[in-house]
Amino acid sequence: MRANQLIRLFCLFYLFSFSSQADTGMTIDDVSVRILDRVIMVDCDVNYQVDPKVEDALTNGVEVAFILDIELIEENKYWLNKGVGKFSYIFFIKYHALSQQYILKDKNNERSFPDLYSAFYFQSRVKNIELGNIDSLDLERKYFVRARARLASEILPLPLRIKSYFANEWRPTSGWTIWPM
Amino acid sequence: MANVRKMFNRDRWLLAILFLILVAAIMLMADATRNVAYFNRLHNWLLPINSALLLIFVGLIVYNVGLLVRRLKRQAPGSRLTLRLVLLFVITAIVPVIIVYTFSIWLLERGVDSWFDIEVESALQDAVDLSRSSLDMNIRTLGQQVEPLVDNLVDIDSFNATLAINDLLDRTGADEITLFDANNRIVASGSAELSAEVPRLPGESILQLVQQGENYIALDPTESGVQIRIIYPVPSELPTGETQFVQFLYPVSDRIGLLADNVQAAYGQYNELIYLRSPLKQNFIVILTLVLSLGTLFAVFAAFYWSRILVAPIQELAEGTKAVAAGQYHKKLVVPQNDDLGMLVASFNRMTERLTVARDTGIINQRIIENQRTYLQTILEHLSSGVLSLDGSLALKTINAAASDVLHTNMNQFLGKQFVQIGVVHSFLKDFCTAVVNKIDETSEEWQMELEIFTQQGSKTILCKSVKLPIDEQSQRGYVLVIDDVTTLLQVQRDSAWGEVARRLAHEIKNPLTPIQLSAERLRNKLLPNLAQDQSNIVDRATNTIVQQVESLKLMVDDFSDYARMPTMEPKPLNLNDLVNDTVELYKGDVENVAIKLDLDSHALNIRGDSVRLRQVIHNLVKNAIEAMPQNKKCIVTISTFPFDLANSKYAGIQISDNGPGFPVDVIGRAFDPYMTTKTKGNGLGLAVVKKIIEEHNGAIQIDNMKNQGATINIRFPLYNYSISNLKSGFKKA
Repeated sequence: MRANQLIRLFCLFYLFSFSSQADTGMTIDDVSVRILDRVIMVDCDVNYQVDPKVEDALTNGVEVAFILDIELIEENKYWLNKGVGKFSYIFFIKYHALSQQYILKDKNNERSFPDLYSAFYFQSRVKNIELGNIDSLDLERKYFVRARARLASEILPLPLRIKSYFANEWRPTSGWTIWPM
Repeated sequence: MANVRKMFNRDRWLLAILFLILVAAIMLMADATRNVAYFNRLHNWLLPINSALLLIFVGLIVYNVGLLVRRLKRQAPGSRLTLRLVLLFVITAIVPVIIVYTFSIWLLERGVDSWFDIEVESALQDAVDLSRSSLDMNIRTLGQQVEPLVDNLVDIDSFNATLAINDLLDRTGADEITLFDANNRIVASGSAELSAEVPRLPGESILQLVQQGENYIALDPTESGVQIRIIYPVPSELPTGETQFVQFLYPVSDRIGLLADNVQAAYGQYNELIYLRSPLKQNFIVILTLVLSLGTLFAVFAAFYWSRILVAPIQELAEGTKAVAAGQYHKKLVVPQNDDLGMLVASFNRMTERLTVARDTGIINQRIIENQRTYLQTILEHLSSGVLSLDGSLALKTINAAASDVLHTNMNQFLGKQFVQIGVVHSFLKDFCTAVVNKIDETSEEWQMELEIFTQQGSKTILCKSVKLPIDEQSQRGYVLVIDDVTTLLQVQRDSAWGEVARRLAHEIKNPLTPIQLSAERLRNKLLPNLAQDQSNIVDRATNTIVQQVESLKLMVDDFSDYARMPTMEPKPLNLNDLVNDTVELYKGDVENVAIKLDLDSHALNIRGDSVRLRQVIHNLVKNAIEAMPQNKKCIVTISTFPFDLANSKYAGIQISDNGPGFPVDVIGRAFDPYMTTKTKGNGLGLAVVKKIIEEHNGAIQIDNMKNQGATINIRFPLYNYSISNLKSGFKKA
C-alpha cells in the first residue's frame, strides 16, 4: 500500500472517531405538525436520558446543556435537501447543593426540581413551535420535519469536552428523526 | 546535483516553517496550561493545529521512510549511511523525550493534585451542611408557626379565602400565600408585595407529593437566591369537598441569602473542579503527549533532513567514484560547503581532472604505440626474413609469417612454448634449435651463423642472426632471431661462380688443346716412319692417347662453353602442348624401356620462347628420368600441362614425373649445381643447363620427391595471350 493511501485512511479514521455520536436511548417520541392561521406549528415529545456518568457530573456541580433542534426540510432528489424552517431550543440543568434541587434554566425561565427526572419530564413536551408560513412552501414539492435532541457537548467544561470527543457517553443524542409532512 | 540542491532548499524552508508552527503550537499549549479558563479559550485552536501538524509530520516521515526504503532496495550509494544516521538521530532524540515525558507526567499528577486541598473540601462540605442545618431550623420553626393556621382555610370559599390569606400574611410574615386545588389551579392568593407577579406554583413532582397527604417544607432556589417553600394539604371536612393545598413562600433574609449563595457558589465551583480534576489531568497528559509526539516527529523528520544533508556529499562522491571507475572522468562534483567534505569534493575534482589529462595522454600515447606497432607489424609481416622473439627463458613470444616459410613449419603452434620444443616436434629442426640455444647460452653479444636444415624438399641454408633485447626490466628481457633462407642466394652465387669457372676453362684450356693435338699428330707423322717397330708402337700409342684425351678435353670444354655462354635466344610465340608432343615423338620408338603418358591441357598454352632450347629442356629432363631408372625396369614418364594463376600472374605449367628412385635428400637442394650428379656417366651439367634455359625464359623450376616413389619436376612459364577462364590456381602437385 502506498504512503498516500495510508495517510488517507488515517485521516478518515481520525475524522470518524471525532464525528460519530452515541445512541444512548434519548429519543424523539412524536412530532405532530399542524397549520394554525397558515403558520406551521409543531409539537414534539422528547424522552431525555443520560448516562449515569453524566448524572454523576451533574450532582458534582457540572452544568449540562441540552439542545432540541427541529427543522423543516424541502426534499431535493438531485441535490442536497434545503432547510426552509428551523427551531433550536437550549436549556441548562444544574444541581443546587444547598437546596438539593436541580435547577432547569432556559432563555426565559428558571425552575427547580427535586430530581433530574422531574426536570427532564418537564422538558419532555415542547408545543407550538413555529416553523414558518405555509405560503412560503412550494406545494409541488415534498417536505418533511426532522428533530434531534442531544447533550450539547460543545458547551461542557473543557476537560469533559475533550473527553466527549473520545467517549460516547458524553455525546448522547437521539439522532435525526424524520416525520413526513 | 542542481535538483538535489533545490530539494534541500525546499526541505529547508519546509523544516523552518514546520519548526515555527511547532514552536507556536507549543507556546499556545504552554499558555493554555496556565489556567483552565485560558485553556478553554485556546482549546478550539490547539487541537486542530496540533492534529494537522501531527498529520503533516506523520505524512512527511512516511514519505521519507518510503524514499529511504526504495533507496536501500536499490542499494543506492549513501543509503545505508543515511539509515544509520537517521537511527542515531532518532535514538538520540527519543531517549531524552521519554525521560522528560515520564518526569512531566509525574509532575502533572502531583501539580494538579496540589491545586486541591482536602481540608478546604471538608470545610466547604461543612459549610454547606451548616447552612443547610441553619436553614432547616428556620424552616421547621416556620412550619410549626404556620401549621395551626392552616385550619383557617378549610372549606372556605374563594372570597373569604382571599381575606383569610391576607390575614395570614399579616400573621405569618410570609412573602406569598397561595391556595390551590388538586389540579394546581389557584383558589386564592396573596402577596406581601404590591407588585407581586403571578403566584409561583410548585411543580408536578411536589404536587404529587402533597397530594399524597405529605407536607412539603423545603428550601427552594430562585433566580435571586433562595426562598422557603412550605405546602400543607387543606383537607375538606365536607363529604363532597376536595382537598386543597396552601403554599407559604418565605424569603430568606438578605444576609442569610447572600451567605447561602456564596456557600453554594463556592461549594459548587470547588466540587466541579474536584470532579473535573481527573479529566483535566487526562487532558493535560493528552496535550503533553501531543506536544512531545510533535516534537519527536519533528526530530525524526529533521533527522531525515540532516542525514540527507550530511550524506549528500558522500553520496555524490560515491557516484563520482563509480563514474570514474566506469571511465567517466569528466564527472564534476559541486563543492557543497567550505568544510572538510567540501575539501574532499574539491580534491576529488582535481583528481578527476588529472585523471582526464593522464587518460587523454595515455590514449594519445597508446595510439602512437599502436601506429608504430602496426607499422612494425606490417614491415615484419612483409619481410622475407623470418623474425622471432624469445623471452628470457627462451620461450617463443612473437613470430612473423616469413619465419614459418623459412623453417618450413607452422610456427604459430609454438607460441609461448620453449624454442627447443620446435626441434622435438620437427626432427629436421632439432639441430637448428640446439645450435641456436647453445649460441644464445654461449654469448650475450650479437651473433650470426649459417645453419643447414634438411627438409623433404632438400637441404636449406639458413642464415641466423640474434641480438639481445636492450631492456633493463627482467620480465621484458629476451632475444630477437632473424632467419633467412639463403639457399637460393648461395645457389645463385654458386651458379655465377661456376659460370665464371666454365668461361675461364673454355678460354684457358680450349686454346692450347688444338696445338697440343696438332703437335701430337705431327710428332706421330714425322717420327713414326723413322722409328723401329717397337719404338714406333710406343709413339703410336702415346700420340693416340694424347689425341684422344685432347678430344675428350675438347668435348668437356664445349660442355662448359655451352653452360657458360650468354643467351642468344630467339623468342617466338609457341604452344607448349605442341612443343611437348614434338619432343616426346623421339621416345616413342623405344616402347620396351620407356612409356610416356601425356596429360595435356585441352586449351593451347601459348608462351614466348625459343623452341629449340625448350625442346632441349624437356629432352634433358626425360633423359634424366630414363637414365635414373634401374636396369630391367620400365621407365614411365608422365607429362602434364596446365594453366594456373599465381600472385595475379598467369602461368603455363609442365609437370614431369617418373617412377624412378627420386632424388636423394642430401642432393635435392643442390641438384641444379654444375657437376652435381649421382650417375656414373655424365658431367652433371644437364640440370644446371635446364635451369639456366628456364630462367632465361623468365620461368621457374622446382624438384620434389613424390611420397610413394619417383621424382616430380614442376616448371612454369609466363602465359602469352591466354583466356582467364581457363586458369587453375597454383602448381599442380605430385
